[in-house]
Amino acid sequence: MKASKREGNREFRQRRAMNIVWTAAGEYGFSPAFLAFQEDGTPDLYLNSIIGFAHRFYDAEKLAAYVCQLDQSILSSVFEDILWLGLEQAIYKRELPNRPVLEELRREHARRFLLDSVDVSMQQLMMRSEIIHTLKAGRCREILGEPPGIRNPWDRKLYEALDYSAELTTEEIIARTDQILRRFFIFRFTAGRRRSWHIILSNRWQQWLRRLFSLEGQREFSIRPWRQADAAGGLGNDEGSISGWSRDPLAAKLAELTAIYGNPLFAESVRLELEVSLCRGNHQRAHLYFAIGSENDASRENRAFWRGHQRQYELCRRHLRASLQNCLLVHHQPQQISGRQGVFAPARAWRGVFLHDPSVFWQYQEEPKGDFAVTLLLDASESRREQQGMIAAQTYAIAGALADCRIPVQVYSFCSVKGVTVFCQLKSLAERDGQRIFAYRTGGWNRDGLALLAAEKLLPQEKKRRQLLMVLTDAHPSDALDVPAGAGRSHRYMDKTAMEDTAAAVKSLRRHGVKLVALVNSVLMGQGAEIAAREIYGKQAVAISSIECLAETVAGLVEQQISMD
Amino acid sequence: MREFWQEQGLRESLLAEVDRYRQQYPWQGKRLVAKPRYRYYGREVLEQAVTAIVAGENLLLVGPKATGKNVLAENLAAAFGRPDWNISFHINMDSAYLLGTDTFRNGAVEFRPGPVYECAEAGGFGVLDEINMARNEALAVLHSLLDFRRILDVPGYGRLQLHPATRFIATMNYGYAGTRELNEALTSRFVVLQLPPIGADDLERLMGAEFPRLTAKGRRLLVELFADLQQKCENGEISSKSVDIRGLLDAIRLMEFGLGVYPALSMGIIHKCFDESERELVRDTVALRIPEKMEPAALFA
Repeated sequence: MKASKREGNREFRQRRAMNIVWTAAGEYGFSPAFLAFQEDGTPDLYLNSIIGFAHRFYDAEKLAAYVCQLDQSILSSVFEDILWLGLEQAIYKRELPNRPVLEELRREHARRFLLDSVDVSMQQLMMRSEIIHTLKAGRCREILGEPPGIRNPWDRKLYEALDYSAELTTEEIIARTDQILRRFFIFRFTAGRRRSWHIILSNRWQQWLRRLFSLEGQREFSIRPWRQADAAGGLGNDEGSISGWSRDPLAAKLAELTAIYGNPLFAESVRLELEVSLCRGNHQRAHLYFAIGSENDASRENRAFWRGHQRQYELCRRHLRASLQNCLLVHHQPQQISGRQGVFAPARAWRGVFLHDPSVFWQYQEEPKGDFAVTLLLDASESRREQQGMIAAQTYAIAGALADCRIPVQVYSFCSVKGVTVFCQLKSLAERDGQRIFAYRTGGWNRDGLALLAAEKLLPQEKKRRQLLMVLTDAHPSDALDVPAGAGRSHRYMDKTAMEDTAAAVKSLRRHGVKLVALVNSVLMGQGAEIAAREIYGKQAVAISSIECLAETVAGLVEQQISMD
Repeated sequence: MREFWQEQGLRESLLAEVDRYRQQYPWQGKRLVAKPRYRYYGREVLEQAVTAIVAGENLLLVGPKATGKNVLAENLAAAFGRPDWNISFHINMDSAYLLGTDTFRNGAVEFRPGPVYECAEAGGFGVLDEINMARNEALAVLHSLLDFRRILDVPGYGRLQLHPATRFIATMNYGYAGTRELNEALTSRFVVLQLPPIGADDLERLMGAEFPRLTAKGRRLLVELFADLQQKCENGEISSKSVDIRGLLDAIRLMEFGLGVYPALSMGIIHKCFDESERELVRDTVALRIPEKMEPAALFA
């Protein structure tokens, strides 16, 4: 819980820093390649504003290309700091007449820098780049009205050379920096190359700009042997039998699933009971397993996707929250009460005459409708692999918005591995935080019919609270485990058979009072997926074509479900 | 108001129509014709609104918060020399609240007229504020009043013919929390005027008129701050809570009374956001324009 809180704080600090950059840039929607933070993690107001002004005044592409060039040197961090020292000076002079507050912000920044520079440990002294520290300290002293205190003639000349004027253009800044570096340093190129443009920090406590995250960050696709083996096994099974499964005892397979998906959610007796009651008819050879989802190799990928698209999804979350709040506010039901004015109630007239009670009218007071809980069910089959990060991000945004509105929400994913439909709990109703949703990972098949029947058992058993089951699916059920057709024959669980089976499960759930809606999001999004979704889920299936329409679509579905009562 | 509208550049022919209306319907009732607290700036919008009123139309003013919907409605009522009945719509409103309700007095049921009834009878300007807050069923009673029939049937109490000077001006903020889609039948009974957010020049003029001691430098600084907040809101980073002209004007008023610039802006703008993270974003935006220790003397002459 503490880790997730820290994560949340970190995300907000990033958002705050980005907002400072955007405000100064006067432009939104670009991802700043640099962000600046103080030692305690608080965004640095002055330096982030300088980053924003740099975006406003100069050609970001040209500067980025130049920094990439610097990046190849072994002294890249020193060179980048030197570039920023020059830029800061030029930007400050340029913006000061329009924004007098910069003077105070700069002084405060300088004060803090010099304060942090005293009482440093030997380790910190060893870590810092002395020349950069000397230059920065000199600049800070000068800002505070003191002499720079740089005695070494070489340092002093370099310091003086970094006094860039406000009028310099991007090309002139690059040319001047290049000239300085060639005059004062010797270039040594190395093969090392970074993807993003960062201000390199010389040490922890004298950081000006802290490299916090790489927006284009490395996508580390982990190798998942279990999935490959599973997929290969499933696809290569022409007869529909589950090679290897029948030979192994169930307990061994469950142990294998526990290792992959996490500890069991239910005691074995409960799991067995559910299996006996649900694995019948079309699913008589199938099994069920329920896991508690935990951090895994997919979490990092999913978080990287989230970070890369955080702004869009945060925006979606806020829009959805606002729409849901509005929807909950608008849908009220009237309650009749007696009052001193309103619609005359003849049956109460005697009270007025004999008891002098003026409450002989009916008034209507509006009460919020009974509350409801939402269960998000994610198709986690291999066909969702390409969209894994996006689905996790969408789910995180939806779950967050629902939780913000105090609507209880739980999240499960499901897939079918070697004949076992595996459920993974990614968020329980009691959890306030949805960080575990990033543990969503894809693999195997999807036996939607069985999954939906089992999902009904996972819904909270509260009579007063209506249940809304929201399925994020590609409307393409298929499983390697066949459907018995009698007399030793069987049908593949795919296409029409699978769709009919899933549609029957949908009907069954609706008969039991479960409000079921489908958010269809397929890599093969097109007419085919939409038709399949309509066949299975009827009118309560909506295609999500882009992140922009997610909030509106989900809010519309929730509103539809609320107003149906 | 006539002089002000002249300054704004309204056509003389239109102003003559306003004069004609005033001569035709001089107000002689007891209710006072309110003097507007603020003036609406924006020639184009004013011209459209005045034309609609002169032509006898009902006006629906649509726009985000702080675009001056109510200010414009008040200005119109004052300029046409009629009192206004301000009716704030809300989610629990019913037709009885608008038209009137039965009350029990001295052992008998009596009709107590509601604000719409009173306004229609007297020939006032009815300001239907946040009209899309109410349920459409509650508003259906207004249909006959707002269309060509110009009548109001109150069951059991007869028919009221609308006074010819009566005008209804509705306001709404589309997409505001608690609002709903306005019924098509009701919308068709209004001419709709979309109010743009106040422009930087108009805001500066408004500040100048409201606070004559505020220097040009001070006005520009606050206008730029407001533009930063507007842009942040348009980009979905903050809600519209802090993009609040009323709050900004209130803050300037506090500064006039000697409160520090930053604390005044905190009270008028920053603290309007109750969400801590949103408040931080607004605070940073303010800090990029206003030094924390800035004295009001720096902004006032």
